[in-house]
Amino acid sequence: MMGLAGLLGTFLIPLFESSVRLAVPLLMAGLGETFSEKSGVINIGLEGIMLTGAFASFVVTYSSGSPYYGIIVAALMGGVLGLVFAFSTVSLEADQIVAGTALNMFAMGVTGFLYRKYYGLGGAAATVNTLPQLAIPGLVDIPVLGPVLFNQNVVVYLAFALVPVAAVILKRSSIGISLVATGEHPKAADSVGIDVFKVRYATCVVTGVLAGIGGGFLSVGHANTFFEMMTAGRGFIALAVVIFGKWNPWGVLGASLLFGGANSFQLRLQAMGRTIPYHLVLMIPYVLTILAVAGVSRRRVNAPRYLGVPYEKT
Amino acid sequence: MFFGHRKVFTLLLVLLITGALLIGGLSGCGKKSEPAAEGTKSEETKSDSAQSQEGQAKGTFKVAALLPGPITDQGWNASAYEGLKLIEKELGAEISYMETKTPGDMVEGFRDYASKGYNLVIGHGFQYQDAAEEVAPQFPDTVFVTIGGSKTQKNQAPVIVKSEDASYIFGIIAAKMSKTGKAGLVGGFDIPAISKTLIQFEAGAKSVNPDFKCMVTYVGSWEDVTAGYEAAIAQIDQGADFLFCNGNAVGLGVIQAAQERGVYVFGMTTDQSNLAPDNVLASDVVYNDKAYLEIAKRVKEGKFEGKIQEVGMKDGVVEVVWNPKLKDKVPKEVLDAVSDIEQKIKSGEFRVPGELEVNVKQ
Amino acid sequence: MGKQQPAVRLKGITKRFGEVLANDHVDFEVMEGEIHALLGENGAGKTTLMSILYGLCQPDEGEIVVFGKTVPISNPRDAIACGIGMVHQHFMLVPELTVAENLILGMPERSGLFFDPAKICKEIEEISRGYGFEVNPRDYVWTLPVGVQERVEILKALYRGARILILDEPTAVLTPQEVEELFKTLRVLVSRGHSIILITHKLDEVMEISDRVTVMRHGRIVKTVNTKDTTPSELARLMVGRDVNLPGSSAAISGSSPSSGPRRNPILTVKDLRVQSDRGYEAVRGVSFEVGEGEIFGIAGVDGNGQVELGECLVGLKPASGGKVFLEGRDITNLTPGALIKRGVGHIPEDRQKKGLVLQFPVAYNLILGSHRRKPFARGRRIDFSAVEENARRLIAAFDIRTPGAGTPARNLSGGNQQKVVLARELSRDPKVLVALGPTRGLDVGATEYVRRKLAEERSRGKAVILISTELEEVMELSDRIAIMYKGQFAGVVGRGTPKDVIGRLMLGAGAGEVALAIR
Repeated sequence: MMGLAGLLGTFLIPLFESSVRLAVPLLMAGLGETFSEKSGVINIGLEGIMLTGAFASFVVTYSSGSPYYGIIVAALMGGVLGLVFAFSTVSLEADQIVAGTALNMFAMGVTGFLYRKYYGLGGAAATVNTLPQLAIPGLVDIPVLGPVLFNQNVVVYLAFALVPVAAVILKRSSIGISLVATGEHPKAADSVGIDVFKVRYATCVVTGVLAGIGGGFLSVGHANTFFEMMTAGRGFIALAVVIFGKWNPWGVLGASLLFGGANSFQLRLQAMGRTIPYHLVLMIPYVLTILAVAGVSRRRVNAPRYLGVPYEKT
Repeated sequence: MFFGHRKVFTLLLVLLITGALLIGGLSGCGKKSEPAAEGTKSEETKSDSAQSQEGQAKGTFKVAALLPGPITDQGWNASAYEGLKLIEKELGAEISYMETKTPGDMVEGFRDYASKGYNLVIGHGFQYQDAAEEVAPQFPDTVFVTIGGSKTQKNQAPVIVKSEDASYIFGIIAAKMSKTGKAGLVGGFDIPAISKTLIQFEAGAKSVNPDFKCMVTYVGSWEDVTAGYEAAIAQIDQGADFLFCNGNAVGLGVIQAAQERGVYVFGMTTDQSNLAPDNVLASDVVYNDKAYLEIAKRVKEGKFEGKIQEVGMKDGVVEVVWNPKLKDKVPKEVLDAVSDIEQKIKSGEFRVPGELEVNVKQ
Repeated sequence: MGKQQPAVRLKGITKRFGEVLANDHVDFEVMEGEIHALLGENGAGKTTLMSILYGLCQPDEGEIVVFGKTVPISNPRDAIACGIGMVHQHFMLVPELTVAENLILGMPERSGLFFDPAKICKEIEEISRGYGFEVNPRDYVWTLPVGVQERVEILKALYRGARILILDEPTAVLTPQEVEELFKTLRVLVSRGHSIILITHKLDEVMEISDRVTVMRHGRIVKTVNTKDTTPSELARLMVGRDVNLPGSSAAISGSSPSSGPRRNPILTVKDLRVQSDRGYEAVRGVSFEVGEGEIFGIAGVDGNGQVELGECLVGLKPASGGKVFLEGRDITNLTPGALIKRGVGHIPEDRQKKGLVLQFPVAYNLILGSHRRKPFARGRRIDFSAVEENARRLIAAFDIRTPGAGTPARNLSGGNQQKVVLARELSRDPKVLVALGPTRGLDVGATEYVRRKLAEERSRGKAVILISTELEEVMELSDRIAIMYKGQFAGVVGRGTPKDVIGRLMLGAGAGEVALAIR
């Protein structure tokens, strides 16, 4: 039996490190989705946006050599897809679920096609440079947590820094209350001169940018390559993260860490021995997702009232 | 905004989805069957002419394949095409192929080729076995083969690639070279085609050192690169200094982890040493085209029997390919042991247990 | 009311919606410091007129003059800038935001991008104290009673510098005490020179609070009169265009059922019923009562005190979390709506468009909803369309449903005729118990009269009727006994003829001390 220190060093800290890595894409996409859902738009196209972000950053990093350019282009591509999504759901009032599904299908098809055409050279995949780890002097020396939290790449810092920023914007800024009003009672927002369309366009673009960066992190921050469908359902888990986190940035942070942690935990559990059937262990993150959706949405206390409802000006 | 507008737009979106599905199909999808579109036509007109030409030219050996996707996919379907070309070249056979998506298409495809007098029709994937089972009794003179699967009858059998021949050898290498006595094995899904390679890795390792420990992790995905990475990191944290992964793109993450942590890793399916030249020690390379050739040979020479057709190292289908950059660093004793076992496998003196034996064992 | 200058003048306003002429060359004027009632039936065009003034829609013709200046008002922002504020019938407050946040909503120039809640709350407290309002800016709006929300709406308009306030049916959801308080507020506002336009169809309120009245009918102004020079019956005649029986004075509707007769045979018995609300709290907290043969049992109360949940539980739309319901002695607790229909429970839902009808279905189909799988309408799995049509023909005639035909989609009918379809369907099943939730909400005078008469008829035929309504007048007029709900329980059950202020007090949760406090 190893002592507490041993457990910490060989199990808990690596577990936490890996949880953080697995949580970041969920956190980015989840924060973005929080904005658009708060304003009444549900974007289930996260998976597609993330996949596009992952592909775009891979392509740009591959050709430019700089993962930073990759992440920037991933953000741009995400923003463009967000804009397209906003155009179809806000201006043209298309069903948000259908539009999101279309986005997913489209992204899967296009990225898969282009990847095969230009990179999929018979399984010998291309690899790219990854985002360098930037140690924050001083903080990195904090025992235990220092190396985990303060020796990460720029996207990890960005994701965590965005949490308080998002919380302040949503709770304490005129933008935030306009956004909440747009999702809770668009007519009331309209009646005091808030442009419901503009707000929803803006949140959709923000969602796209953040999800795009989250996807970019997958291919140039976490892995060092791209593969078709490499998002592996993370966009959908990010949707659950938003519900689990009750549309609150801090909650989204907690939920992302929980989901990332569950995934990391099951992988470690398998590495430690095969006493539990791996299928059951693999289920952990997904069971959590189902619990999140079923458990929380039964009392949709915090779900914006007009979530998924296009606004029609009368 | 008026009502009709929204409906029209939703319809447009549905069309868009359909379009996206078609594009998705174009790109094919690894080992799964996918609906596909064009793609065939622009390629080699050979297939078309072969089909229309008819000409029961007696005496010519004729081989056809049914594919789940376009041969331009640079992967699974492309390997089938390469196989056909090899058969054409080596055996002077007449070849043809056809893309089939639905079970109905598959049945029609088999029937079409069989009725045209093809000697061998290959369904490129286990999903073809039911269609083959239905058609085979009606055409006793044609042999129906599926790549993967389990169903057999007098003139039908699956081809199973014994990639475990190489992974068994990897186990031996790991057990001889590991400092920690531990290896990490990562699989995409726990299915026989995957698990047999991991199990034989372990068997190979234990044949050298009965106390050697293998950690096994299944990530439940073919595409989740980062999950492969994390699984490997977890295994390295637990002391593994050799890694092996059989799980499509998951392996990319495993190789990345090996590179980052400076441990050895074995590649799968193709020579992956270019991905991490300092860490990929050797690869379990599978030559699908040679599998095609081997099965065609067996049919042509009348050696075909209605039972599982295993093709492996013995047939030149599976090979251990060393990373040239690292081969010098491997102790001679290890290299000798490897060539020794390779010889034994090729000569038939030793047999790595195959998929069926493995299943029983499990 | 001195002869001040007009605060607002609307000149020749014309507005068409397709074929319908909603406003036909309307001239309308409101003085400074005046309470001006705008009276008319539903569809008379008063809401359209005010929507134009507030910039929610644009007139086809005509101009708007505010404080002597002709102004283009193309959206609410323009209206607000001109000093016009509107309190909508359905509040434009965001329940999930605090009072303060609702006030600064859409005014970043005033609050700043990142605001300091403490500073804003202080500012708001000062303003509200200036008008004698008691509002805590930190409260979330969803926690506030309706009366207070109304005050927040007014405050919101004032915070935006409104000098002219449009109130659209402000008393519809208030208790008598809250109405009193609202009127007090309005008097304070006019004393400070604000002008108020009160859209309403309630004559007694017009008589009590307004200085002048403008009556509209069919999109036109019928007449503008000084309130003190007119009478309710004159106004009613102007509104409807003919003589009408005013509610309260009509013995015909009340029927002949004596309230204090011998104890009637109980049909529906409810024992200690408990129901959860959608939001997860207990909305009905242990309610027991009996409704007898030939009785109308009224349930009054301020909106949101559990009446709706109680009603929906009785008709099977919400499960009971505790307690029992018996119909003629048999336990019917938590049966499905379908089973309840079979056993004789009729339901006139609260929102006919959402819960009572399938709007895109033809009238004939709506008339058989719920019976469509039973004889005579169904033969096996198939519908007998001739029986459906025959049924529709019969009911359309019997209930005088004004529709172009049985095949017309229900959506194309007027509100009154839609409600007649619901009534016809429910009554044609000959229910033993009829649960009516706000059955006259949003109906015009004529249709209201009709619905009330039908309910009274059901009583005369020996049915048990449960009438749940926030329209206190209606409950008092029709019911033999009235239960007053407060926070999920009966604050009291009173007989016919109980004074309004007693009921009003019970609606606020009884306790004389509390009542005094609330009225202040």
